[in-house]
Amino acid sequence: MSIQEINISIKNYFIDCGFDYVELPLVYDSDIFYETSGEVIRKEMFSFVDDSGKEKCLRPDLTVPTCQSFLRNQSNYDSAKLCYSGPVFRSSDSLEGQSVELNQSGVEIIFSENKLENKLDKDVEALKLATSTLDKLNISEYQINIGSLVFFHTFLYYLELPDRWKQRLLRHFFRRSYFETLLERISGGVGYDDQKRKNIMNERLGSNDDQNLVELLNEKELIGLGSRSVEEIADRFSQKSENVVTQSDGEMIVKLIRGFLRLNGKLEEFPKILRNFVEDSKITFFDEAIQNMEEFVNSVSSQIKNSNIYFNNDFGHSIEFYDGIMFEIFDKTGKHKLISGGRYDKLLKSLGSKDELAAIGFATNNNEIEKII
Amino acid sequence: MNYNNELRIALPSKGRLREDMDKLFSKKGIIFKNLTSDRDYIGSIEGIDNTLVYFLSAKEITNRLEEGSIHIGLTGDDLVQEKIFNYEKKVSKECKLSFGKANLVVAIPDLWIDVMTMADLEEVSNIHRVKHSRRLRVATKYKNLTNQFFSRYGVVDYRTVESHGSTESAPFNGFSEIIADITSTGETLRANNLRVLDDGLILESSANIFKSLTADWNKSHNESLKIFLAKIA
Repeated sequence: MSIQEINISIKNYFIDCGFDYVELPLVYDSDIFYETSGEVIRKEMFSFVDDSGKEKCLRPDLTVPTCQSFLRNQSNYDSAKLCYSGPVFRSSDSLEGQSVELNQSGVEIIFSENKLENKLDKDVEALKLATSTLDKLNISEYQINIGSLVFFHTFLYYLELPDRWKQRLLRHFFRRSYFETLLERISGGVGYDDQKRKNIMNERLGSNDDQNLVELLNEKELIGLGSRSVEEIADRFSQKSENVVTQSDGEMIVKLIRGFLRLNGKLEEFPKILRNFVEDSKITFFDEAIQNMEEFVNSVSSQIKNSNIYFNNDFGHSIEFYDGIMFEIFDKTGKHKLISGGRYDKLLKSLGSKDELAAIGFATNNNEIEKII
Repeated sequence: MNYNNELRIALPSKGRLREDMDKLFSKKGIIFKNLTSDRDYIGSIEGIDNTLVYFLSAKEITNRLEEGSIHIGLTGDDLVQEKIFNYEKKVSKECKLSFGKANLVVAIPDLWIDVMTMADLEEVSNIHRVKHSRRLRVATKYKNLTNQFFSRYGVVDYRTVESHGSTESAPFNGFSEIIADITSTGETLRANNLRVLDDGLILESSANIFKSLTADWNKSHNESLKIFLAKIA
C-alpha cells in the first residue's frame, strides 16, 4: 500500500467508526505550539518569520490544531469525536535520512468525565480503537506499552514531600535527566533549616529576624525586583523553611519513588506486582489505587484480545502534554512505533476551554506502518 | 599573487584581547612583518613561511572560522559556542591561551532571597508565568548558550530578550527580570544589585587558537600550523 492509500484507508476507517473528519491548515502561529507542546516538538519545529515579523510554523503536530478547531465551535457541543489525516513536519538530527514530512492519522475524543458511567470508559475505548485500526490493516502482531502519569501522581500524593516538590517532579517527568537531578536533590534533603535560613537573611538583609521579613526587604533598594513583589519573595522564602525534608527522610522517599518507577510487567500481572511492592515496602496507603488498576486491567482484558500488553510505571518520559494514561504500540520486532496516544485533560483548558473537558486521542505513524505492510 | 599555500591566520585587531595577545606574542618572539603601519589589517609572521595574518574583530574571526575562509583564528569559547551552530563539527581547539578569561553566568536580583539555584529559578519562572500570563524575561547577548543551559535545568517558562550592551542594567530599567551575561570579577553585577546563582555558571570561557575544519587544508598549511603552535606553546 502506498502512503497515500494508508492515509486514506485509516481516515475512512475512523469515519466509519463515527468520527467527524476535520481538515486543518498546514501553517500556524508558532506561539500555540511553544505554549502547549513538549520540548521535543518545539526543538523539531520548522518555523519562519512572515512579513509582519510574526513567527509561523509548519504544523508539527495535529492534536493541538484539532483541539483548537473544536474550541472555535465549542458553544454548540460538550463532546466530540474528531479525526484527521495528513502530514506533520519535523526537523531533527534523529530523523536523519527520513522524511521531514511525517504522515499521521488520528482521533481525538473530547468528553465530560462526570457524564461517564465508568471513569475508564474512554481510555479503554481509545485503546480498543487503536488496536482495531491495526487489525483493519491486517497487522496482527504487535506490542502495547501503557503507562500513566496519574498513577504516578496518586503515588506521589501520599509521600511526605512538600507539595512544591511533588509538582516539580510531575512537571519534569518528561525531562528524563533533569528528573534524575531532582531525585538526587531530594535524597540530599530539601528546604532551608534554621541555620541556613538565618545565614541567608544575615548575608542578604543584615538581620535574621524572620518575623519582619517583609519590612526588612522593604528597607532595601527595591528597584529591579523584576516584577516580583516583596510579599511574593517573602512568602516563598518562608515556604522553603517549612516542610523541611531531612537527608534520611529524603533518601527513603527517593528509594520509594525509584522502586515504584521500576515496576513493570504484563498488564494482567501488574496488580499482583503492585501488591508485592506495597507489601515489601510496608506501604499502607495504596490500596484504592491498586483496586482501580485491577478494574482497568479487567476492562482492557475483556475488550482487547492481545496477550502482548505491558504496563510500565516508568513509561512516557518523552511524551509531554499527556497527563493521564499514555500508550504506544510497536510492531512485533519492537523497531517500528506504529501508534502513540494518551489522555490530555489539561490541554483544552490551556487552549482556552470554558468547560472542564477531558480528552484522549492517538495518532498512527503512517510512514512506519508503510514499512511493515 | 597566489595565496593558495598561505596559512591564513586571523587575530584580534583591537581591544583587551589584542593587548593581551601582543604581550604573549612579544614574550614568545612572534613578530609580525610586512605591516606598513599599526593600522594595517594584513601582514605575515617572521620565521614562518607562507603565513598571511588578518586583523579582525573577534566576532568576525568566529564567522570566518565557521565559513572556512581562514585556517586558524584567535577568539573566545563564548563566541564560538554561541555563534557557530554545531561548532564541534566546524572548529577544533588547538591551543588554550592564558587570557580572555570570562564566565558566562545567570544572574538574578540580589533581593530574590528565595532563589539560590537553577531549580528555584525553574519554580519561580513557572509561578511568574501562571501569575502574570507571560514568561520571565532573560536579557542576554548569548541566546543559544542560555537556551541550552536553561533546558538542561528544566527551565522552560522564560524567553530571552536580546541585549546589545550594558546587559546588567536590564533588570534595573525593567527590560528584563534576570540576565545571562559575561563577567570576570563580578563587580559590575554586584554594583547593579545582581547575584550569580549557586549553580548558574553557563560557560567558563577563555581565548583560544581555533582551527577551522571547513577550510581547505594542504600539507604546506599543516606544516606552517605546526610551527606557529610550537612558537606559542
